[in-house]
Amino acid sequence: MTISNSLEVKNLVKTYQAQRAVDDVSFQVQKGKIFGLLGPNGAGKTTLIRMITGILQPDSGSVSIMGQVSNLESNAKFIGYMPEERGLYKKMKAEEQAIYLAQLKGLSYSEAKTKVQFWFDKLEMGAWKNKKIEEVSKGMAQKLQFVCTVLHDPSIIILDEPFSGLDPLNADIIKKEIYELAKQGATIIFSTHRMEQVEEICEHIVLINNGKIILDSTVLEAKNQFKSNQFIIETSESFETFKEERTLFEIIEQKNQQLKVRLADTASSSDLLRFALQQNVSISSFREDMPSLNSIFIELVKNNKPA
Amino acid sequence: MKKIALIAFREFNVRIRNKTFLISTILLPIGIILFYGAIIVFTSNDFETYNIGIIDQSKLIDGQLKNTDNFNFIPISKSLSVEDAENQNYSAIIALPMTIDSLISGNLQATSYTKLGIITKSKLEEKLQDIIEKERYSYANIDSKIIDTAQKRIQINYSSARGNDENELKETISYALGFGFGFLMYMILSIYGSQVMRGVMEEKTNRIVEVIISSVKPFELLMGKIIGIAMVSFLQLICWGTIIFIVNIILGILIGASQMSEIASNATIPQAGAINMINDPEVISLFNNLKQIDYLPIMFGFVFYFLGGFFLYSSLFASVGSAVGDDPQDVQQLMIPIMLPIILSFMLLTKAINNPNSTEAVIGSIVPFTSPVIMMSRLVFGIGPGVPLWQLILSMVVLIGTTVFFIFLAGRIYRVGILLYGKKVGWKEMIKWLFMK
Repeated sequence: MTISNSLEVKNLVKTYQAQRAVDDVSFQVQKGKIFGLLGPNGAGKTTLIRMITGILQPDSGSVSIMGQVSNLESNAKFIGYMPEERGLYKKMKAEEQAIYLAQLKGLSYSEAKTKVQFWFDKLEMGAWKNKKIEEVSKGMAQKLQFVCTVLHDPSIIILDEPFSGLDPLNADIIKKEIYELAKQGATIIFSTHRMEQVEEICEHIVLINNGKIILDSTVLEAKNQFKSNQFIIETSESFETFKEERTLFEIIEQKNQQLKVRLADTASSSDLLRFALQQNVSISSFREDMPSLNSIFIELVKNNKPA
Repeated sequence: MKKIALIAFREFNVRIRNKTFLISTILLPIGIILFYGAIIVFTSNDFETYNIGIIDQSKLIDGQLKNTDNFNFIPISKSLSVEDAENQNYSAIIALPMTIDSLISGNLQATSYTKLGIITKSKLEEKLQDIIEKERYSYANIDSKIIDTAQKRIQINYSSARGNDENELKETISYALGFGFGFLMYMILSIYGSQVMRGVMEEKTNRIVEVIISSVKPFELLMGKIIGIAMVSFLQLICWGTIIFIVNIILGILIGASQMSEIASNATIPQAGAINMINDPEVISLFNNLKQIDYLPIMFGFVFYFLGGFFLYSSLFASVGSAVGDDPQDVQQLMIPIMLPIILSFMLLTKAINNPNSTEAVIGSIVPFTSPVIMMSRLVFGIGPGVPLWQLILSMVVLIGTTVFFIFLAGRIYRVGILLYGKKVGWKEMIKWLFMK
């Protein structure tokens, strides 16, 4: 049997006292994909991730990882987890700490040392391998945390808000590494509420709110599902003649050289483009106005308020 | 198991490389020994010799004042001018009264030329007190021998009904050792126990704990930490023990040397202060008695109760550490129920060494929360006369059982507590965690 799904979550439920933190959540993640796990604060993301890693036991439901039922022992090998609440031992040196964490994942000392060497070289961290964590900057510590997460070549890498606290330069370095790891076949689960990052990185997303999944689709599908037939036209001249047209579209907004219109249900985008070309103005840009994940997120969460 | 070992060794390595460890392990005891040594040497010995002029025109105490290490008594016939007295290095000149009546009244006049310390002054007074006392007896026609006989200290010589050799000095030593071991255990439990707590809190507030428990079980992390700190404290105790042992050997050599020289010359040789003290027959017999104590059960008991008590209290302290954030007030509140039995055992300690077989001592040495301190202090008196064997075995079994049970409970509290942030937690809440899935 070939395993195309590296992670399968089935009917997961976790209740804290009176509150259902995770309520019947099911989804799958394919091997080598970058998967976004989204949701507002308190939606149950962290609880869900903790159940996937085996830190928490679900009340009911199951998690299988690489085709096996999840248990902490094997998870340690398969999963690299960078929690949102993360830190390092302040008094330990960078290299020493990375080796220690890799050993806890089951690597031997020499394996760990080789791996640490590899990653420190790759991310140009060699200069401060003998520095204590309390002596390095927060960004550096973040980078080290990322290295510690991927040191043991996990099949599934779970990153909870990986870019918080990173400057754009270092965020870019980490992003590059994430792409590369996915290309090499690792599954990346990326949890955040920073939508622009999700849009950029993830292929597939699951949005949870109040412990329930409210969206499970690819980024493209989500956008298609939520688009509202709006187009943006840019010219170097005026839009005077556009204003007379009534049947094909309605104008929503005009800003400088940019016109935003909503197409009538009966019309197609080609009709609109044809109309625009007939107006004898030079068109510099014509595109469909796709909703941002951010607006989809806000809309979905707003409409999903518990009664 | 491999992961527990990894965690324990990390804990051990990081802690022993810490400067505070080095200071408290090696420099502190050496410092304390030097400090007390210096105090003893300086207070018990005055290395200065004072010239004291004695004007005794009526020859009332003729020749009775003997020179000592500190005082040279020089008879002079009349008072000197300040310049002369100073030139001749007199520290003080005492003019004795002309008549025996005034002498025995005890009011003497002296002129000092250098500043005499309080201790020196009282030594000088003591010297003259003895002489004048004798003068008073003879003045009243009392034979001083009668007084000596009347004032002789009584002594009760106990012999044990069961034929054990009872020796007052040995008892005193046991008393002191019992207190020492009990106190040591008390310190270990409270100090190292709270180190475990702080270690757990550190991992929690550092936010490293979630990274680690995605690789190891919370229980493994907890055990690794407790074992690591146990190793550190054991190493520290071994270092302290070694230092005490070395000091003991040095003292032993000094005693040997002074005894030898005494035999060789068959006379008291004026020596440096420390050796004089060791020359003291009481100190020698103290050392001989220390040798007679049966250390094997004490050492065995110490290791056992150290481990048992340490694991019991550490697991409690770890539970608290896992439940609180970094608010010291919350910590204090939750620590009170743990500290109470430790403090109680300290209060019971004096009772137990005074009477190792009293009801309180027996109960205290069986109840697992006080037994590490109390049983340890009783063990010094020996198995048999101090602690009946059945009590020892019962106490050990109870301690092992309780410790295993509490480690289990602590593991359950710990696994929930370490992942919980920003919530004030009480004991009630923690008990709920015990039953969570």
